[in-house]
Amino acid sequence: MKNKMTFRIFFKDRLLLFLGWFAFVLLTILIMWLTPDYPMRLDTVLYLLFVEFVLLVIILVIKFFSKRRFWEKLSLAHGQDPLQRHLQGAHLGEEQLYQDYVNELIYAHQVLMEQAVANQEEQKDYIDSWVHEIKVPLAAAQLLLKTVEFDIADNKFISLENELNKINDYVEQVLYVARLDSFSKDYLIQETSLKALVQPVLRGQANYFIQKNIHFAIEGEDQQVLTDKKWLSFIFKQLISNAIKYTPENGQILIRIATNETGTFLEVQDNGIGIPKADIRRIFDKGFTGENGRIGQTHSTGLGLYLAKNLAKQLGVELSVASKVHEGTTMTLFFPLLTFYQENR
Amino acid sequence: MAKIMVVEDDGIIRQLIEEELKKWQFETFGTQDFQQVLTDFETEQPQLVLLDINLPVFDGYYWCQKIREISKVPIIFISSRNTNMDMIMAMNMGADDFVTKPFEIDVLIAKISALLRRSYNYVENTNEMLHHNGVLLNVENSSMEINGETIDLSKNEYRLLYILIKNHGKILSREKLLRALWDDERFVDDNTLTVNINRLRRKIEQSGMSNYIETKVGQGYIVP
Repeated sequence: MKNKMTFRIFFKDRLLLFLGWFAFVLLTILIMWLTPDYPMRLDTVLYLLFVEFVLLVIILVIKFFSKRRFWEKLSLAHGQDPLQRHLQGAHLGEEQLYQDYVNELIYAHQVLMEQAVANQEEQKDYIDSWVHEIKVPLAAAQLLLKTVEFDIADNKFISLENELNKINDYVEQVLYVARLDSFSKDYLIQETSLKALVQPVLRGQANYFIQKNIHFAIEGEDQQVLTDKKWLSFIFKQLISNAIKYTPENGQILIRIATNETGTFLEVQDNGIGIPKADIRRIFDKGFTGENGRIGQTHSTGLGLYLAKNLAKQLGVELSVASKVHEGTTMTLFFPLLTFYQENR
Repeated sequence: MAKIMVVEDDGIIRQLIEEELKKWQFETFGTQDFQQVLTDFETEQPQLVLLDINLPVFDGYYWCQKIREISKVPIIFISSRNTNMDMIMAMNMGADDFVTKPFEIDVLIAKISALLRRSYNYVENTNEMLHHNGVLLNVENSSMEINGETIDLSKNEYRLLYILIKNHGKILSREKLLRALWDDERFVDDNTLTVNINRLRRKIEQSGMSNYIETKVGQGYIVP
């Protein structure tokens, strides 16, 4: 234990005192020796030395024990938050000084923290309201676009629709990042059909599938899982949009739903460019874009998979990846059965 | 004819919703004065209310509660708020459905129609038959009728013919047709589209009509 006062440290701290004491004793003996007609005897000197030493030790021990209670208060061994614990019970002037100093620090820290938390809260509220504000004109723009669908050139219509979708996705992402830590306040666990969840997300990405002429298929029977629909949709959307991004034209994306005795799997498999071995461990790290993220026009922010992984974790879903360069990538969402979940943790 | 009240403070969105609803033969009333939504409701007596949450003066939850005190009219919330909390609150206040912005106008119309059907046993008076140039498309059982002969269509074929006839006179690109199929959750690729168009043509031709669907090279297809 580092921050604990022991006899050893206590005496080490008082090394100078010992030296001083020894010097005084030597001085006394010297004076006695220099005094004319004084009978110097060794046993008297030794006796004096001994008695003075014992007295010194007794005084220091008393001092040690009288201060021990204060030192115990300074010990952090209790597992309490040290930033919440004010010091009390100082007796000596020196202790009082320390106590005041420590309490002052704790107070200043708390004020600062409160301010920081309030600022953060304010900012989060602002982001929340901003997201809702921006969605209104965005909704209006999308509705307007629909009304001119047949009046403007096809490619322009699709490009415009894609741009609006992108804005919408980025706005959504802001919201999810801001909510990442307050996740617990906003989820609703329900029996959710995986196919019913997957389909609207795919529909939303239709333009990209069509433009790149990516072949698509769903394999496996539909399964029900217990999860939050909205958050899982967001996670799945990240996986699908990544799969589209990194799959060349005329590629193939396969959704596979499977189940075994441990739980249910939802896989997104593409035959795209794959992820280099060196990068694969870090793709879920915040801000990591890797080799693929730097290719051409992919516009990688390194946020999508980080969010997906974290949100999945909070939902009790495991997100894992398997990939081979030039062959493709498979992202797997694993929904463990409750019994299995308990056994393995 | 059902009357629908639109309580939405964004002018453009309100106008577009109203325009679309009118296209579908609904009567509409758009709120202008957000102080007296309830008074308007009482004088207009709509069959369904579309309600935004973020409104000037009072919010949508407040008006929902007020309306529920006097009426059981179906209410659909349209809002950019999309937390589960918001949706649960809306449902607890007595809303029947919740649509988040941005939304597809078709989805909104479908929800309105479904809700009206359930609430009033209301039958849509839109023509269930789509008719153009001698081809009769039966919306109910997805088949077509040519010269009195009924021909069954696959889902993809039906959907394609529906889009083409509905937008007759306009060139529809392959992308747009694919998009329409995807919107219907039929996730097909380019080759499947070609196959389906060809099958559709063959079926129409077998009934004695040639060149019903024309190809515009490099642009797409058209039903003139």
